[in-house]
Amino acid sequence: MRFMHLWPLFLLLLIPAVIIMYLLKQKAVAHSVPSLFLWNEMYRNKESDTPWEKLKKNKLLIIQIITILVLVFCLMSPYTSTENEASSNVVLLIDNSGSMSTELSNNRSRLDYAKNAARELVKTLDDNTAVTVIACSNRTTSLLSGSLDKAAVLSAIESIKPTMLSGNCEGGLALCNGLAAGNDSMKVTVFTDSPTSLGSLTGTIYNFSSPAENLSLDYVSSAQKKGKLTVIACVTNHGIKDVTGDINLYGDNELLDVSSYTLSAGESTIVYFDETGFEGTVIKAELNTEDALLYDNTAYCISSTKKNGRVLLLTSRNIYLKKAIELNANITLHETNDPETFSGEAAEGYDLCIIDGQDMLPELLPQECNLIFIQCDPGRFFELSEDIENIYLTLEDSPYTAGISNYSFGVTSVTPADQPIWAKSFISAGNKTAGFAGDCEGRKIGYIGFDLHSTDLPLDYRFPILIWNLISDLGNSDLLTTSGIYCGDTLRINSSTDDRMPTIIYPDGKKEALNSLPLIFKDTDTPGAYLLDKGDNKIEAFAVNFDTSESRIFSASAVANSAGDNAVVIDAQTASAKSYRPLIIILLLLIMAFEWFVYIKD
Amino acid sequence: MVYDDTFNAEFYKSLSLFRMNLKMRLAAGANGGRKSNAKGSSVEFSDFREYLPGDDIRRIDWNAYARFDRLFVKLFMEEKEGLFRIYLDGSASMNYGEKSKTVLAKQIAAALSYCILDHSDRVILNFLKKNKCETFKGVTGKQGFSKITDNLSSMQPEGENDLLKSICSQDIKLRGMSIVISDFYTEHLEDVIKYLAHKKQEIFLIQILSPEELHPELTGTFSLIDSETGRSLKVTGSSSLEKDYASAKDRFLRNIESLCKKYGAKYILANTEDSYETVLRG
Repeated sequence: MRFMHLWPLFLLLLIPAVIIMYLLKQKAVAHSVPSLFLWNEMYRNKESDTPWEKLKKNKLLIIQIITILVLVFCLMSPYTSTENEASSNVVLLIDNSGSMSTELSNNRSRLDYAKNAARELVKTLDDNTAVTVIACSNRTTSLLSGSLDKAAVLSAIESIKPTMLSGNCEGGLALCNGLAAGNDSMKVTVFTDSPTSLGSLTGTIYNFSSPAENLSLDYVSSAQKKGKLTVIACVTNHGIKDVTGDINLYGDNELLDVSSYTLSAGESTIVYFDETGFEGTVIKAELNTEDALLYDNTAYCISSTKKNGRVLLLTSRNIYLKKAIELNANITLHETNDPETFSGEAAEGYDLCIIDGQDMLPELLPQECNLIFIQCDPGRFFELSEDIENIYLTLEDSPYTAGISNYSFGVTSVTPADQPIWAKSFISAGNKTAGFAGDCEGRKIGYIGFDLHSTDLPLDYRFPILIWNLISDLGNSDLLTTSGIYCGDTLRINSSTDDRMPTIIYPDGKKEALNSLPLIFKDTDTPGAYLLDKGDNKIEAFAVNFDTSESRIFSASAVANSAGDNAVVIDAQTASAKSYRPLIIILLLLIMAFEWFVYIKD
Repeated sequence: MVYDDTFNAEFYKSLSLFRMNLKMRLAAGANGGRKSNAKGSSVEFSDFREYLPGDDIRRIDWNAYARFDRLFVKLFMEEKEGLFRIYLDGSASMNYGEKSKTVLAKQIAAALSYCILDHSDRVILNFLKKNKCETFKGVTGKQGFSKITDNLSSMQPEGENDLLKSICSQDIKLRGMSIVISDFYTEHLEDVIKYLAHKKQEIFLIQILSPEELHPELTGTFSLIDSETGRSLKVTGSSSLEKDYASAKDRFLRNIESLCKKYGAKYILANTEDSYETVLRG
């Protein structure tokens, strides 16, 4: 039997206090009797001369001391572990994702309890047990590998810090699967608050998920409406009580508006902020109610006040393409059938130039803007193959075909290309590609290898979606590919046509210059508004938010059901397989009832 | 004299209706109103016997001679005076109780005296105090009842008293009835009864206890102080203590009863909650 806490031992000081109170209480009151004749006859054995002898015969005192001892015992949370810890190789997988920062009790987070449980577990292990410590979220960190040094293991556990990252232990378990190869005796102990499947691994899951009163600000978003900025925010109540509160809306750190909400348990609502009149960049919404998890009480977004992208369409006649492009309200389309008018530097100032057919190819290609070639050979960027007649093409999985992939359509003639290494194919033509896009020479280049008039693709609903995705990406000359990501996500930054490297400005003002291609920014652990300085006072912004999927509270049964056949799931608040606390509480109540009975009887 | 409310108007009102006959066998003593075993000269016929020379010829029943032709002499009852000694315990313990035990003791003594005087018998009051016996002058006739009440009123219990020592300090010469009114907190009660029996006394013990003694209610820790000796005893109240006390009290009362049975004494246990009439009518 072990104990979760030792601090209740201080309560043993109550025992001398109670004894002193009894000594004080038992001051004899003078009581006159006619004669001691009868009392002497019967009370010789009951006479008590010293206080200690009085205490010896005082049933109530003895019962109260027993009550204190049982209470202390109960508060120390005794438990016995039922799992077999005699394994020679133990992996401790500690979830340090954002949800583990939820307060469990006594102002201590789930992670604090998890680390404590892990420490207690390590103390019980044999000295010959090799311990591996892994911290996991959507980023897996191996802190210690196969160590026999318990002090080092405890130190590694102590070094685990809470993060605002999303995710669970899947990455860590994948690592464990690798470690378990050829090591049948390895046991995995997972400390988490999310449903986790050990799969073929053997081990224990300590579940730290517990009911908590928590609100999450799922997202905040803004849009221009009649020249005024409209902001919406989504709030979800993950607790079991109805909640009423306020959301504060800030624009560039100045309070813009406050709005109220009322939410039943488990309910979500959208809160509107109309016509804020804000013309800045960073919008922050914040719940002004403290709850179990503070990370999800704040959300950021970047005001969508940027200018429209300018697209130049060089085509003789392509109504399908024109209508599909015009569906994008953030795009300003210019159409011409005279390629020489926009030859060379004449096309500068456009974000994207679409050249529809070989006859629309200008003598000099624009130097800076992005380009999409439709069945024409620019003579550079990529190599074309021989034409293929009457072939079925397929929409491939790619960022441009999300949700519409695996669709085949026929064309009468296609000019495929060998896929350049810088491009990502989105239309396949057998083992070649008939549509691709990617970064090349500091700008984005796209290619569609068939005339849109020679296919029925424009008649399908997938066509405008494909064009929307292409234009949204290539019709934007901004370096940032998105204005919002979650903590821990990687941000891809478009490269510039000039040689200047952008600088990231963190929410706390720290600056970091990006110095290698491709431009990827990974240090997004902290939520807030980040700035991307491109030089020449050109600054873009993006928001990093806490992923509110971490705000979900899972039931013990959900965790137990997902654990797998080889896993033992333990309600880890007591960090024990079998806690004696309920039994002791019952015993305590019985003792108190007995004390009451004795009190009444006496 | 200390003012005493024992004999108030209510007491006298109830006493006027109170009648009690104390039976006592008498063979000697002064002439009185109580029938004696001896034949005497009272007006009450008792028996006949044949005339013997020397008999008073005035007592010959001439009608019997006419019928039987033999001389018979009429015998009459001898009436003697009964002698009642009332011993009243004067120790401080008799002052105990919400209604003092002394009050009931005095009322019982007065009521008995009233009845005794009503039967033309003699009452001698004795006050047992500080191991001595204070004996008042014997009283006869109803007119002497006021003396009895005066004497009783003057009695104030105090201090320690040994019942045996105080009773034995009096030399009892005449046969009679000794009525002892006390709480009998003594280890020598048998010696007291023996002494009185030896002095040819009919013995009547009246034990007076208060409800506080019969059923004490003690919760907490107490220092019990003996009202006579001042000695103390510390006890902690509990249900088991009350049980032990009750069993000791029962043993004590049973012992007195068995002693009385053994020596042919009468015994009454009186509770101060009861009136003297209830006590004496049993």
